[in-house]
Amino acid sequence: MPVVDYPGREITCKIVYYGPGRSGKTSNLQYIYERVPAERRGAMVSLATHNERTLFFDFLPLELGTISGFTTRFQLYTVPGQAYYRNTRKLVLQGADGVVFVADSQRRQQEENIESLRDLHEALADQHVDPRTLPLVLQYNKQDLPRDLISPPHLMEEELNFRGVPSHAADALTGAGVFETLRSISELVLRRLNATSHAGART
Amino acid sequence: MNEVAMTGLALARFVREAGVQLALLLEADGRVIAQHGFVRRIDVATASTLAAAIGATTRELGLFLGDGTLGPIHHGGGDVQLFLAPLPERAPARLLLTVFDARTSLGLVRVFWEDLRNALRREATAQAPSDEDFERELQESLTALLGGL
Repeated sequence: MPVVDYPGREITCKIVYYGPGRSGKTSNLQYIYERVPAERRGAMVSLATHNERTLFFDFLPLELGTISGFTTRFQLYTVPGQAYYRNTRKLVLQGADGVVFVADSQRRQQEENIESLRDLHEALADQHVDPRTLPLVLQYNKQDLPRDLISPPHLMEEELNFRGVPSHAADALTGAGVFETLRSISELVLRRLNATSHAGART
Repeated sequence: MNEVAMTGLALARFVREAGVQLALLLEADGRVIAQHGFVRRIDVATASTLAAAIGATTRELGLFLGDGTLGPIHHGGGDVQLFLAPLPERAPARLLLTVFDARTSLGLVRVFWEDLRNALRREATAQAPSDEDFERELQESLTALLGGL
């Protein structure tokens, strides 16, 4: 659940960008960092290898503003996508309030997408989180690539979106679909928190 | 004025008028919502946790006896006294924990506890955000951050 600081009237939500290696998770955060107002974002921290692949995580804090009297902040994280960083992914995923799954739309990457989605569900189950209850948004990235290389969004839906969660076609390098994705996951996370607090108020 | 400021003002007024040294407004689970005043020997986190435990056990005892309500509880110590009382104006009910000494009396504390309840009741009625307010603030905030899509 989001961290709610009652005396300070602050809510901090953790959103994790998950997906296979090179699917565009860091590109999402870089685009967001470059385009949101400077006074609404903190420093973006990236721990990358020499060949610029994410080693541990990227981190970007954002301030959304005041909602229901609470200053609301998001902490955006990415995980390293490569298969051998599974333990690192589990660490970063701990305490996540929402997940953006960034899928690579290239046809030859479809197995990696499915494997990464399965890995996400296993990591959540290991942490006793029911994947069906966690806010999740799918992003079909790299839709700008030539048509003969990629699966169109409706085929990506058939392959990956068995839960029927919100999904967005995207090209993270130019920013298409990036803000739409962030907006979707932000709405899901905060509506869930609002519903939880209302449920608490009724007990 | 927002809800936080109004709650803080109501609590400050209670401390001043009742003549108590410390007042804590708590969620039922012990999380501190607001604090006014200070007593050196009282650790706020510990006191809040214990107060929540007292509240929970008293409620359970009440249920056991067929009455789930929690009435005010007074601990008349030597030079420091405690008054723990429910503030049921919101659901779930909150708790007021206050610490006072011989410079005031239990009677005064009770009188101004009633005033505090009334103030918080008015505030709850005026401030409770509706789903519509939440959705409007959410959309406005997202648009301010991400722009119109």
